Amino acid sequence: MAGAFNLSLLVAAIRLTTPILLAALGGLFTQQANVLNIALEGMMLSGAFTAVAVSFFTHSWVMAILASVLVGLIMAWILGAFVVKFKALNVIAGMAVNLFASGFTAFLLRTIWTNKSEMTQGLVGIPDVVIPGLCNVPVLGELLSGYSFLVYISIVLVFVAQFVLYKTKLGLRIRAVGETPQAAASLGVDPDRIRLISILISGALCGLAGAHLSLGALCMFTENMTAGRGFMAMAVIFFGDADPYKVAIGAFLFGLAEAISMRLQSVGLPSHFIIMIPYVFTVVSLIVVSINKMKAQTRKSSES
Amino acid sequence: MTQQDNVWRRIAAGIGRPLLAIALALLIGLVIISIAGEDPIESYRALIGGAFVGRSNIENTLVRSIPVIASGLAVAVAFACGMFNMGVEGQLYLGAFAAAWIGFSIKGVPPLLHVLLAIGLSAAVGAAWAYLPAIARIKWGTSEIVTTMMLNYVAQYFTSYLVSFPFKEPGDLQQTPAIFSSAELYELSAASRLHLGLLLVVVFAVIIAFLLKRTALGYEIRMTGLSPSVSRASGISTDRTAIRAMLISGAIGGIAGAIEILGVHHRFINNFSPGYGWDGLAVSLLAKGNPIGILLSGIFYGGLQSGANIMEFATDVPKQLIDSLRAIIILFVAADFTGLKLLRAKPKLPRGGGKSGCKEVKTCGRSV
Repeated sequence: MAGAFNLSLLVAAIRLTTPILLAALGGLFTQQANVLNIALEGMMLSGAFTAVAVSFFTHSWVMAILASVLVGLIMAWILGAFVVKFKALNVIAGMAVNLFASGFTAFLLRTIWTNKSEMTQGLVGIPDVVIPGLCNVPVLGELLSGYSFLVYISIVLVFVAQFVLYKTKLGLRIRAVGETPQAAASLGVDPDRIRLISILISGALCGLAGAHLSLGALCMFTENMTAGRGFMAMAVIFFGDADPYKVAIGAFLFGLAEAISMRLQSVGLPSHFIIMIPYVFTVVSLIVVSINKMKAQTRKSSES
Repeated sequence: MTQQDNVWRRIAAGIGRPLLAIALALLIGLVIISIAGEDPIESYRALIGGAFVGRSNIENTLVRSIPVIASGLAVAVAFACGMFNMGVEGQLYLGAFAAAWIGFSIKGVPPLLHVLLAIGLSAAVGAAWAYLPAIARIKWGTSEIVTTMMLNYVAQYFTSYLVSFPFKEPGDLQQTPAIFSSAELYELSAASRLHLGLLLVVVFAVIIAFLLKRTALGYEIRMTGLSPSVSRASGISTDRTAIRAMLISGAIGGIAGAIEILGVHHRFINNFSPGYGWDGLAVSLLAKGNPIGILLSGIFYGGLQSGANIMEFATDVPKQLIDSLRAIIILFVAADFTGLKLLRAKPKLPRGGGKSGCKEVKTCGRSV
């Protein structure tokens, strides 16, 4: 039992964190703009399929990543058009995007390739990055070096998201629209446009998350391979109150829970409760957050 | 006479939109099938024939639509009250397990009583599972959309644990022992496993239609959904009403699971639902929450599902194409294209100070 908790568990956790983290970093922008985005799962799945398809036909992982981001953007644009322009309920439109992605990627998978080996033969995966010098240091080498390219990118993007959100005009506008759209509109910011932009950001990052899943972590596409990671990302966003640093911590906790439950499964122990913890924790923290908000509000109104 | 005209116009309006959405989706599908190099006419003939032509096909369609209709009704009750119950899938799993447990652990109960016990417990479990999100929403304003959705996973993993460890039938499969025959729902057709659940969901649809349209509680539920502030002003306890609506919704979600277990599987099987709860959401949307409409849209949905299997068998078009078309139907039904005209008329003015963006915020942002 104790042997299960070692360095390689941490490494596995970091690997499992990346797709959740990338999707959550995208989704936190929509969350900040007060758009509930449940389409992370579908956009991620579309990205995953696109990466494999483009890598198969062009033999270039760079093209594959770019195409995934593009397809993530297109899905996000469709979602955005329906939510922002056509006033569809975002829960419904998001669900439709998820269903479409799941159906259409499976359809294309079966239409393009007849079997799995035909697909995996032509694939060029995203390379692992070995950090020179560091890779030979005993513990740190294993812990920090040798991950897939997008693992490092995702960590950089945590800081980029923090910067964009709190240090740029766009970030300010997104937060303003999320908090008080009327005030933002009165200052000449078009809330619908900002909402659309935030959805597009989430689409691009979900595309990236998908590419990591299908070409970085594995080197193939299977039906519904995102397996609920988009919803985990949603939970992480609520867990971290849409703050990039807290979201990163939350994503790691989900990754760790997944890694532990995989270990337990491999030795035949019940893993269900471990994998449940992050969801329970999200629900509890959501309730705590809203209780605190309510307390702050009553305090404010009693002061005035 | 004029009143009758109105009724017809309302029915036409209610059916027109979904039909248009379906036609558009089929048209898109036609293009996709052609690009994939298959014969679209042949594929659609197999799809529709496989869904609605011939006794066994019709029966398969009905079997498939029973849990979807029940889930749709669950969603509709909450939705009438302005609440989103995204947790039907979880309620369905827990209800299904509860029903199976009553079915295989109690012996020697008279048949009717056994079924009633199983359905009763599943309703209680489903309602209990919906209670926490409802209370959190009413008391502290926690979004029930997110909490119900997260609790789905908890429910699913929990039943998965139960069926993998304490209640696992010896053997390789992750399933419970079979229920006693006294707990099984009467089988209407042996070949397709069509069962009494069909009658049950029709009865439930009628009861819910009656509840919403003709009872005081139904009136309060609809009023609370339409306008919480007006309801409060006219003396309705919106908090209590909303919680009741969620409890009823959760109970039906639980029963949906029970019916599927008692009618089709006769035991709890790990991950047995291919997303009935989510299909229920779509079906409810397609029917705009109208219980009788949910019967129709549920059968349509079940038909697409079983027809897709036949289509895949008869032609080389993978059945998942139909999932994509279903998504397109949902998207078109959910959209409000009247906004398009407004945009064209006044392109530059920000409308309504930005409140316009998300209906979500308006209906579900604050406590009822």
